[in-house]
Amino acid sequence: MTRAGLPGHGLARPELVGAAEADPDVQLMLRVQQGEDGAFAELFQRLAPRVLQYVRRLVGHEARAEEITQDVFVQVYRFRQRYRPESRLSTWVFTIATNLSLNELRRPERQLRVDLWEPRKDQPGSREGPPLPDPAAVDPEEGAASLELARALEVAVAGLPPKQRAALLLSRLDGMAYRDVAEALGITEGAVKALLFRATHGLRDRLRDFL
Amino acid sequence: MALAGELSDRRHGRFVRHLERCDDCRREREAYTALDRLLGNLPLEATLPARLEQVTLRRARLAAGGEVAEGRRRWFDLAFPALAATAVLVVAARLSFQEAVTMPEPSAPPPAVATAPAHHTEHGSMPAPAPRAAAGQRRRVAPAVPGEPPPELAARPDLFVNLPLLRNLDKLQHYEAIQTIAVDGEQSSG
Repeated sequence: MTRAGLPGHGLARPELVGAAEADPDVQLMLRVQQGEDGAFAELFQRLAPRVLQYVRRLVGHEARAEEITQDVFVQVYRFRQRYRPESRLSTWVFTIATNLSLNELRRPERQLRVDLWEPRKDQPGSREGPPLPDPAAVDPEEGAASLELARALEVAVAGLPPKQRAALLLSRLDGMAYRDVAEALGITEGAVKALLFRATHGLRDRLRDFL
Repeated sequence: MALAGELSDRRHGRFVRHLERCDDCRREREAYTALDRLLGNLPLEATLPARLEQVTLRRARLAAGGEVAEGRRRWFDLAFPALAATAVLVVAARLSFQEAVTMPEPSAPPPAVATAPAHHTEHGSMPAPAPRAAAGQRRRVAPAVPGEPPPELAARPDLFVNLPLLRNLDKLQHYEAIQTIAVDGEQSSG
């Protein structure tokens, strides 16, 4: 598997085949493969919010995250016939998203870009980043402190090395087991655990004032 | 590992007993538990910009269209050289076939055009007929002529009588007689 290319499916795990086929996402993808009208739009609406949030946190750049999300779904559509229901659709899609995002982070000009997750020097008060949790959903007792903590957490996550960040974010997605994260990152489960261990330690250090 | 639930029962029991008497580790554990809870509260879904879906679907359709065009172009890229190569092969095969048909006679004498005497006729001088296979000319190899006519033709000699050659055979014999018989009745040398 190349970073620029599409993920392979690895070995089919027979015990997962039945479960994967029962997955509504997989059913939807099968409809896309059969060329059903509207199926791809439905797939986009179902997965794009998670993909965009993941890519946004991974690349730390709003506009670029939207472009990469487009690229992800264009690739999903172009190579829809390559998908086999032996693996979860979300694993396949997030593998593409991870590859494209890590490619973006490796681009040389990327080093020159202002990191949107850090406060801008010309505007000390400003700080861009992903949308924070809906204030209405925040426990009123925690109030502003909770919001501040959430913002600090986003910044801390953004400060992690890309692979640690990817492993951490993928592991937090619904239903992504270590083996799915490993497949998406092209590494072993043991390597995933090591990345998560280091990521958690890193976050603990960065958030020492809050925790 | 303890937070991930990956410790064995025995090690987990030892870990819990250690926490009961170690404040530092207990604080660390609480911090990691709080961190885990925070990470669990991270919003996993973003609000999609309105235009993102339209743009993506349009790009996907274009990509699919481009795929078809690319397929056609790929076919043309392959077919054109293949057709060109086939044409070259056909021409080469035809030339080599002609070459084989008009092979030079191995025992042909050297060219003699320059030394051939002119043959004077009443219409002017004509070059003398060059020896067959002279001047590098290549003799066309005629297919082998059967010694005997096919039986069905041999059984019908009447089919031949109207051939111009046979009708003029008498004249030819007469012409030969003119050529070979002198006026005074002596045989000429021809």
